[in-house]
Amino acid sequence: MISRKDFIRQSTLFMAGTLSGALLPGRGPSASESLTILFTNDTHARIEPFPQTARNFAGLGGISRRAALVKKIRYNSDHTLLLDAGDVFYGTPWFDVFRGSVDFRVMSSMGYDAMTPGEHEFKYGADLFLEAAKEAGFPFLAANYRAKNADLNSLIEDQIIREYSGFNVGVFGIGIDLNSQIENGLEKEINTLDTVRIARRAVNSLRLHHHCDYVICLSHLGLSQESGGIDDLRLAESVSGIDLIIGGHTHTFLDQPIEVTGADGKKTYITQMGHSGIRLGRVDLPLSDEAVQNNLITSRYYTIGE
Amino acid sequence: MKKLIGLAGFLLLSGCSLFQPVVEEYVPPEFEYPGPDSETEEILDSYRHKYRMHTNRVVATAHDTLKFEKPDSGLNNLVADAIRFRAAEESQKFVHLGVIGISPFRVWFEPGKITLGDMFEFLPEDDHLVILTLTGHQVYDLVQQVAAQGGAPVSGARFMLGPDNQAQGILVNAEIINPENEYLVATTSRFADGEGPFSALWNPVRRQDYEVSMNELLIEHFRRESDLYNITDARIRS
Repeated sequence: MISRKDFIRQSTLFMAGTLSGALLPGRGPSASESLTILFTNDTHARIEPFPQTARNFAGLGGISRRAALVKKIRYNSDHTLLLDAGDVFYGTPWFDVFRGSVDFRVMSSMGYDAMTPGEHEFKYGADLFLEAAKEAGFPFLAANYRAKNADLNSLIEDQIIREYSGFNVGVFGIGIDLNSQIENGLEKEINTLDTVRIARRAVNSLRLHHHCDYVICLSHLGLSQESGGIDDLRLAESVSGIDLIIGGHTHTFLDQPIEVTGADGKKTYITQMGHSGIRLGRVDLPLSDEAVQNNLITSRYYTIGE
Repeated sequence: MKKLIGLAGFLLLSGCSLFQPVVEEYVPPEFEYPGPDSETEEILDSYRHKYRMHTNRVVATAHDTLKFEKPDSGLNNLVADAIRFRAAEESQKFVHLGVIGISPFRVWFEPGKITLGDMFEFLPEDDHLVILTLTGHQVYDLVQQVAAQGGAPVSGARFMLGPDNQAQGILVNAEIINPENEYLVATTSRFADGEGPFSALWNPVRRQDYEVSMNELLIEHFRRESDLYNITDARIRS
């Protein structure tokens, strides 16, 4: 007997096949599976939805509604990758009381695969971050950070690699230069390496040594920095081989990913989902040679609590 | 479903030439957002008692709805007075003006108890108190910039909002501005650092920063005032 889940999946695949057959001539209804990439950034301790008395975003957001939405999407997806681009800490009384541990615990329960730390994760000292990180069942990625503190250094990793239906997907993290962001001494303890050089090295490592077919940069640089420093737009222009940059820091609501064509003629898409968990971003990548090689993604977002 | 069939039909009839690498995915009209996740709610419930112990402490009582409004309102006056009065306490000097923009504030208050949690929601940012010394010319420009916004929280000044949001009949502590005098102006680090619409704050004669967080300052002022009403005293008249 066919299960309800299988029935829904088959119906969805059939419908998707009908549509993709219309969109991509010659492709059959069951051409390939897809990877669904879900993401947030700058959630800033927004555990509960914005109160109804909020001047903006009244009633929106809420980590519990995000968790339910992620579950629903997972249920209807072949494969999911759930990522966060940093600044989970700070912004509501939940952080004042629990110092980030509740956020990390719920994110772990939701099945986050990785996050890149934002400057707010370091703003209150190494001990606080390390304590909260005990609740995190996912790695923190920042390939351009090297910490003198041994515990921090072992906590922060460069990259993760996942395999979906024979396609390797690499995710590396890039953090913002902490010298321009915090003044608690930790900025001296964490060496921010040359971001462009490190990003090139990460892409090469993922592409050449780990045979990744698709490369995602999880960035907390910000979409665009007036100061002229490195940001997501400059990173996309400077580093070939990144397919998708999931960004944070500037709290930018991008309805559609920005397309940047690099010097090698290949496309990099940049996306960012505002702040406070108001939106959950979604990018779908069909797992076929054509789609992966040509970066044929589709995208959308969900406004949580709408 | 009709829309879905219509879309598929449209795409077929249009020769399948609409494909873009990145498109806004078609959202089926029957898509329903799920309610809160029960498993997550269970986790949060294990923290909520401690959370409420911390945040449910009452700071003050709002007897009216308190909102930021233009040209002024009880809440505008309350926050501007709070920074000017605290600045005077910290510096042990007479502070002529208090000015702040409303952009960092996140919520307004309904009538009822205002809790510590409400106050953290009200102003979550960690700005601190700053006292600037400005020339009379700069103070005049500052008041005009407040007027150009159609009003903003201000303490220590009165004026009439004229046509095209020009400040007229400006009085600072009941006196007309003397361009030769220096004035002490209380504001926050955010606005002194170059954010917001008040450029007159950005090149002061002197600047003194105080280790007093705005959140703490406002909580203390609300506690002290205790019963809060939407009373305006015609600081900015339109």
